[in-house]
Amino acid sequence: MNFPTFDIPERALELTALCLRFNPANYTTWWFRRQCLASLSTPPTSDFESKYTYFSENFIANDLMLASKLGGSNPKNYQVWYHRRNLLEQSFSDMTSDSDTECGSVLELVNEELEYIAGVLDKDSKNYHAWSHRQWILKIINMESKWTAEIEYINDLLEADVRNNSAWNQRWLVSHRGSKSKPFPVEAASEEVNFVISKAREDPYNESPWRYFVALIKEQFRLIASSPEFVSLVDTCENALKEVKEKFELESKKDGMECTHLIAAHIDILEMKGDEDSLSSAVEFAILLESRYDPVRKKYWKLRAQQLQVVAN
Amino acid sequence: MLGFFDSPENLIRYSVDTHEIIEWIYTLQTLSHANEPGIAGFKGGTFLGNVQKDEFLYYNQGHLAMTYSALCTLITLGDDLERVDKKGIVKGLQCLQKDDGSFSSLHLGSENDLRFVYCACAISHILNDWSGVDIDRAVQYIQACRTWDGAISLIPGQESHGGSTFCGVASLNLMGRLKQVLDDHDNWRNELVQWCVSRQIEGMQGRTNKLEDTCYSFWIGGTLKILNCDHLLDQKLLRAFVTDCQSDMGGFSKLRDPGRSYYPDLLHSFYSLSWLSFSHTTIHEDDVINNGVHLGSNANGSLTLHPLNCTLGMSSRRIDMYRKGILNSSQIT
Repeated sequence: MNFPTFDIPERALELTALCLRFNPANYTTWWFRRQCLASLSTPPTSDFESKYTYFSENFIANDLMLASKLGGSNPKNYQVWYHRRNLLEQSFSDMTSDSDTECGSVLELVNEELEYIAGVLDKDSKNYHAWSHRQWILKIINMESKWTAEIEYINDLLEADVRNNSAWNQRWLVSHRGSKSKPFPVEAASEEVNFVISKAREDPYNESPWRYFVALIKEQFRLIASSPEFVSLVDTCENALKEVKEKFELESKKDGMECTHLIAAHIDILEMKGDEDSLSSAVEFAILLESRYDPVRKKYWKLRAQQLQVVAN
Repeated sequence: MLGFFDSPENLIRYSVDTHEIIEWIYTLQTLSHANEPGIAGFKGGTFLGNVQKDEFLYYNQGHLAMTYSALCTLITLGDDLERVDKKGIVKGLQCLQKDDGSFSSLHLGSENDLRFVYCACAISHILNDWSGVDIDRAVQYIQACRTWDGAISLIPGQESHGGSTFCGVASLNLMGRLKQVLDDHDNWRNELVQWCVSRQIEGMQGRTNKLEDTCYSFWIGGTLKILNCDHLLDQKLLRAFVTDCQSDMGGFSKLRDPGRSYYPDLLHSFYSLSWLSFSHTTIHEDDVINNGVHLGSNANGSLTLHPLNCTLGMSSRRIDMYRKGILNSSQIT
């Protein structure tokens, strides 16, 4: 790489900090700052090799603080989050052990970073950048203890706001350990459904848990459709859904059809069941949503009813 | 869309010199260099100061989103792109694509996600040269961004979002892989359509359980348009929301503003008009606040909006003219 050398990187470093206060989005300045940091950092051994840039511990700590200062009033600035990641990727990618005792100072860094992100999410629980950064950390360190701890964190967020779709998304990621090739085994799916239903009960109008509910069942459908395990799962799920609807109607004296996301989920389940009776119920529900209960989406429900009718025939 | 350039009076009245703008854009071009593939493109502004014409500065590099914007803007203003380093840009795309199929924006290094996959696809389409994009890998990345609730996230594992959903669908469309990916084995198309229409409250929200925002009428309305399903939205309701988000000084803000706490901005104005332009080709004069700019309304008080090509995010008329090679910056008609 052919970039300019400079005589006084420390002074250049100071200058970049000043420039970044004026414009923390200037990606060229951030890049130049990282060049200075790298040139002033000495890797631990002479034959040190990594695909990531090495930064000394003190620079990492110092620049994380700088990024936090600049990030405070700019929580959605891509360059600041990218800088955090650049600082941490070499040490985080090095963590191969799952043992808490073996990782020492890097683990401390992990904990501090997760805490920092939690602080940002405390101000805005749906900050997309914060969640991306958090997911990156969990995936790169891939520590079982951290995955488990994250479920607790998510539960706290859902206690505070059961409609937080970002938290629901994180739950999906964490329960799949960050990988699409690790679907729920069917028994675990059953347990997860219980959790989701308990949350759906809090507010049956809430879209997030019903989408999650359908996603859980669909995942099993794609793996083991028409197996006795799936049939049993889907029956249990359908009953649970009906129970939520009935309880809602009893307690609120309202028509459960108003909970359009609950009904939409029911339609999806009926479609997966695929037998004649289920499909014709699905068509009926879609027609009801179209004609009365979900007027904003009436054109969609009309089409959906037609599609289901075609399958039924 | 508003036909502003159709009226020479507007150009004179508002002192708009399209040639000046075109020249300025070209000063932001970074040309390729023998030792450094991957730097060709356009910068967004003059934050690097004035770079001398023959001066090579490693960090004087194009940014993918700016390159995309520059090409669209140049075409819209009537330039024929003859001075664009097309080969350099396409070579640069190759250097920016990652192993997982995503793109970063800058050869110096940046985050990589679906936004830049979209930019790379749009650029390749405009320059009619796909040698810079490994299409199979880009498609794989988009599939990796499919979410549990049927839409598309910005990076794999992240939350479904209107902006990234648009980027994914538009990119697939540009790469000619839309049908193959959405209709192959498990009918992703239906899930996608359901997710999109479920984002409508009156206006469109960008994510489940979040607030409405006018720009999502484009991101999600546009996605549905590409899927030929935008008629499934409640167009009347959405239009009422969008036109209601105008301020009395003109322009659109992201939300309705009875309390005067939201200001209009260029982004929301652009995306609101964009959606209006491809969802309604005529709109009543009273619905659009234009403060006296001559917008070519008809005798019955309706205004023709020239449709945006929603996949490319630019004027349909202009991209057609460019393709037919009849664009000439001295003859904007």
